[in-house]
Amino acid sequence: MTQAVDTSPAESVEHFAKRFEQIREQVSRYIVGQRQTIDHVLIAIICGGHVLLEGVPGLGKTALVHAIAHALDLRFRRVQFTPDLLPADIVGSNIITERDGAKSFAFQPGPVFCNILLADEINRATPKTQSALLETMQEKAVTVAGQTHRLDEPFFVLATQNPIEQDGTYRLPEAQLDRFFFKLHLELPDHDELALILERTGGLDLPRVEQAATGQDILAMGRTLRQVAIEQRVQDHLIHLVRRTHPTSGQAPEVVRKYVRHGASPRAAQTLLAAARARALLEGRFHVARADIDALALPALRHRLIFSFEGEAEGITAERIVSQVIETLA
Amino acid sequence: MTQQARETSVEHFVRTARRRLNGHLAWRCVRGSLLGGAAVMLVIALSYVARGHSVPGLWYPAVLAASLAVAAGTWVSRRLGGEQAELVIDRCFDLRDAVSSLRGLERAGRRGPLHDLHAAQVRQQVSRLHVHDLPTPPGHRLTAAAIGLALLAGGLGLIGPGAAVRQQQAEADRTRQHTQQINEELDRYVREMLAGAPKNETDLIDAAELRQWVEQLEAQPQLHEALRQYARFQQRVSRMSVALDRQRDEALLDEAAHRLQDVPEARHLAEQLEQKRYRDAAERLRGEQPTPEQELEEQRDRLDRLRQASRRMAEAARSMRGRRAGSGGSDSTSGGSGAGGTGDGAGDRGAGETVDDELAGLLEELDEAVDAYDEALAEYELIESQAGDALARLEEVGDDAGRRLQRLSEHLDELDAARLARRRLQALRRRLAEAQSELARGSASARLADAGGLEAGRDANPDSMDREHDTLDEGQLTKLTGQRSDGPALRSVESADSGTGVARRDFDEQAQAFERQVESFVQREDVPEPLRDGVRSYFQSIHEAFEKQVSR
Repeated sequence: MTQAVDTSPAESVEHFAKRFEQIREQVSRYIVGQRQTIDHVLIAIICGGHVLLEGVPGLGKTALVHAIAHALDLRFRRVQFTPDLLPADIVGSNIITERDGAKSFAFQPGPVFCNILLADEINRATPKTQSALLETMQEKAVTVAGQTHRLDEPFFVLATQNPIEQDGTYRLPEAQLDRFFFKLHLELPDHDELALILERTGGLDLPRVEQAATGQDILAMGRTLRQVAIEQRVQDHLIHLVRRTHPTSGQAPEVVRKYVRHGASPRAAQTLLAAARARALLEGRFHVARADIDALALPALRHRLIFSFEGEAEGITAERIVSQVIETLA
Repeated sequence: MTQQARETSVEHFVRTARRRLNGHLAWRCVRGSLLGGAAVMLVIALSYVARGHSVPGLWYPAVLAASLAVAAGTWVSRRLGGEQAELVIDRCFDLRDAVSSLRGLERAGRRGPLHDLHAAQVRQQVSRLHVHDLPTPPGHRLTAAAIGLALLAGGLGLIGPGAAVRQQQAEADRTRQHTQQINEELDRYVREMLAGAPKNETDLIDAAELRQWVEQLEAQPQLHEALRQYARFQQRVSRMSVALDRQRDEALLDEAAHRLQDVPEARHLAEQLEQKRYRDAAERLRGEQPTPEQELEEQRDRLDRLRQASRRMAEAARSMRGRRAGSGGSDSTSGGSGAGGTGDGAGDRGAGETVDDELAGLLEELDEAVDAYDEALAEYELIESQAGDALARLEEVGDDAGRRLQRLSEHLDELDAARLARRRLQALRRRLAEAQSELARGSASARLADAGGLEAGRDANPDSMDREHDTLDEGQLTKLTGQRSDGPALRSVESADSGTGVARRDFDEQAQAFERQVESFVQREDVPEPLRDGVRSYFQSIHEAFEKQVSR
């Protein structure tokens, strides 16, 4: 199942599309609907990014992560974030062990030592704990007592937060939000989807997710998408899109100048490029198109826009800002 | 397929598509410009038609040419280049930037590992496409609108001018012809005047300038311009005439004539001076000149007559000079105000005063010379035996008297010539005034020709009242009309005492006539300062003559 190293570009592209389709198919056996969310989560995994999932409880966030973990045959851990959760509870700590009568410190890995980590209700943990996890996400390594422990690859964090209940929560700082590749919103399933969910989960036989790819496949797919070319004018489009989210940009639309305090970072541009490349391959193309950038602009940018007081007061949404920026580029 | 062939196929497609897109763009530009041009032409045509004019035909090709120029300019500025055409192809065929990306990457020399796959994919996509499938916006509405507006504008161009405009044009033509005719007549008149005038008169008149003024006259379509032109010419002629004014000389000679009336021997001379026949007077004076070659008796007779005449004339000169010295304050005052007038006027008056002084001086010098001649002749008669020296002195004095008499005669000749030249110029002025009134009268009568009413000599019969031959208004421009064939027309003519009441004439016509009169008056009102002085001195001399008569 692992992709050969000396495969030709055509084969690697074919392998990419085939594997992606297989993973999606397996995940879709368990997760009804949410096609776009599944695609975006898979794109983020392939690109080596992490996803912040926002949705009310019961929409299948944990199930989604379970399904992906099974489809990719990856180790999965779940951490329920609470206010009393400590960094050591996540990253692990040195504990005194006794072996052959001698006592010594031994590193006890935390739950981050896995391939897929579900950080449930991440905003309920204290900023200190949040930052410990976010550092791990960025570095993909854990340093305890001066010793660095590398995490397995691929490493993917899917954090969730509840948009409704905000009491006793700690809002993620902007710098930490920026480290998430995508921020996705889970929508309520429609009537047919809900009926299908009931049908699949109400019987004796639960749907079974089979392995469709390995972690190495994911890493190979990540290498493949980096070969996708982007033409200069398309790249300019991407740069313009990111720059126009800044109110200081001369070409920013009025809504940005009025309601946005800070726009998207260069990391957002990197995210968009990587995601657009993946989408291009998924669409059967070998080049990035403006449509790829526009389609992925919202999940890549929505958590990177910092609204001004007026924007917050008037309930301006990232969807509106991004759509208006895209309109100015049309 | 080789890479070159592949690239060529994509490039060929782009080139073909670009040509097609630019062709469509050209048509769009032409249609849009024609629509705009038709709209502009419609506005222009409406503006003419609304004012009663016909649309000048030149507008149509001009607007068409401008529209095509705008279309060409727009096309040149907006036509697609290669890169733009690639973007349009991608957009129109929903190729997701495939063509533009491929060609852009190739132009940049960035051939990544997936380039061949990309190129093959684009080639495959392009092979399924056809440039004729490029969507082109339908321009039927635009074309129809352009044609409709153009037809409308063209239709308006077929409408002829309205009655008022026709009348206006006819009046302009009439005025032009009339002014042309008047100009020709004036030209002929001036030529004949100058040809018929003796040389000493034409020397006084600046004939070249006068001819130039006549040549500057133009055939004017506008009545007020024509009137202004003739008024200006008349003003210039007046200035020229004033420059020839010898009013004071004539007054002096009138005074001299008056004094000569008392001398029986000089009565003929007095009459000639009084009748301003200065040339005859000069001839007579020359005839009276005594010369030493003549017999003594004849010399004495002539000298006595000349003596009587010169004395009276010198008295007149002194008297005139004394009066002028008495009224010097007023003269200097008028002179001061004259200096503020036109430069020409001040110069003319200065020349007049010089001539006047010169005449008075000549008269006094003549008197002195005649006195001297008288003494010399008396001395010669006494010592005729010693005629040697006396004769020489007599000849010397006689020559001096002859010279002075000759100068006086020449002055009188010149005075006579100036008087006649002025008369000619005044005749020209009158002719100009006649031309103006004739022009104004002709225009007014032409306008009144369509004012309504029956022809002269025809009456109106209420029983056979025809609508076309409706109202003989007998000077009343108010017309009452009735329904045709609905019985006799009811008409009433209102009469009013002259000088009172409200004139019931067409206001516009009245206003136009008044405007013309005022304009002409204002033109004539600009009387030059010397002319005003001349009029003043004329009335002063009348006043003086009247006082003198009363005192007697």
